Amino acid sequence: MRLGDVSIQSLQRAIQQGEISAVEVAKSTLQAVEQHNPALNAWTEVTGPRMLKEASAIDA
Amino acid sequence: MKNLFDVAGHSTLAGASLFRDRPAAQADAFAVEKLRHAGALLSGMLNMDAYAYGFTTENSHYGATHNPRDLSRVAGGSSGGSAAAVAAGLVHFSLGTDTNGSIRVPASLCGIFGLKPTFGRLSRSGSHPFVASLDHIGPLARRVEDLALVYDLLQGADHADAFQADRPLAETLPGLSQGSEGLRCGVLGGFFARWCDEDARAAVAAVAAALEAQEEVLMPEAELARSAAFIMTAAEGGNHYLPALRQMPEQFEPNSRERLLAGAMMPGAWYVQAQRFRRHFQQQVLPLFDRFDVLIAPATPCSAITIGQQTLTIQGESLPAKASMGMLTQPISFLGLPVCTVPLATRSGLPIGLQLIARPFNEEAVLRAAWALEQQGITMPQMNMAGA
Repeated sequence: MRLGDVSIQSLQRAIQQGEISAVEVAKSTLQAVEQHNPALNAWTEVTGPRMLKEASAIDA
Repeated sequence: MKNLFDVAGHSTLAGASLFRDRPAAQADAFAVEKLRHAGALLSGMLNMDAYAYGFTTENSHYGATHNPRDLSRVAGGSSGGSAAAVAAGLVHFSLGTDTNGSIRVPASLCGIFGLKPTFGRLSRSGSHPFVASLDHIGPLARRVEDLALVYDLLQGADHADAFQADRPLAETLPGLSQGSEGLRCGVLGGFFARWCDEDARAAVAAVAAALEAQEEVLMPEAELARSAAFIMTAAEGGNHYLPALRQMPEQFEPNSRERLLAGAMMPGAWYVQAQRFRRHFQQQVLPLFDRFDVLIAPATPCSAITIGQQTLTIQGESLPAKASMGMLTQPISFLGLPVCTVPLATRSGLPIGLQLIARPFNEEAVLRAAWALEQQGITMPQMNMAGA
């Protein structure tokens, strides 16, 4: 699943139904940002630890 | 989110190296806290024009943000990082701010949806100010459903924000599927038809046909409104930064230093006249919404310019590229009206955005119209740089 191709509500349902975890969403996002931001220069700072912590709280 | 929102534990930079030694924020901005509470995951802070003063995100210190649709082109600004991150498919939505067009311009150039709500609708607490009389916050997203969802989550009374309007919550997501049914739509002519290229005109025609907007409407004195917005921006921005300009002018963004200085020294009478004209202009324009629910206009005069481009040509006239990207958005934010921008494809393959504009606090109308265009396939498909 390419995360950006589904709506936020669909992704929330997928997390609730256990199809994907919030931590997987966070990791996949951080990996994509790391890969593509050098070409875009969109992020000036990546808050990886906070994102993973927020995701873990949702999965808990 | 645009890096002018406070995030606890991080310095709020507002795109400015001037603030790099600032102490870390103690708490999240109101909007950030709302989203965190709703389960949003924060990936980081996004590039912008320094101080939110600019329409191209060509930041001398942090570098230019590149447009995902064509990496040689600007992403627009000042919320350029916010638009590029969403357009690239790396995040579902982002937060931006809009003083003169800073959500609508980058949404237009990157080919995504953006919502600049009514002035005073959403709390600005914990966001670094630029022009208190004109600053708005709002979301950018890849689909209208997400845009409405995030906008609904951002609503809520905040007594710490003296500029916030005293309005009840008004969720927009439940009504989206009504689409454009019953909405009376018109096209803004005059200034808005004059200062754009053939691609923008073709996009307006396509949306007008889809929304059954047959009548062209004039917004008299729109050009003067743009000038008044410039004056208020320069004066309030200049006033805000004058102490720092006096102490450390060498630390300022070269693209903005002189105009901030000029704004700080502007005759007070100009500013008073601009504020007076604002009330007059509102009184002239608001009656249009007795006849129309949604007005359509281009968001930018043309598609994205290349990074470093200094001039652009519209209708045979050479214009300064950076400032002119916001010429069609400035009169609308000056009025404080809610606007949703929708992306359309041009012949070149680059996107251009249109503004769907409504009366104050009728965000639902512009989101419904945008949803209808998306459902009909009138809007441009989203791209995705992320792998499968």
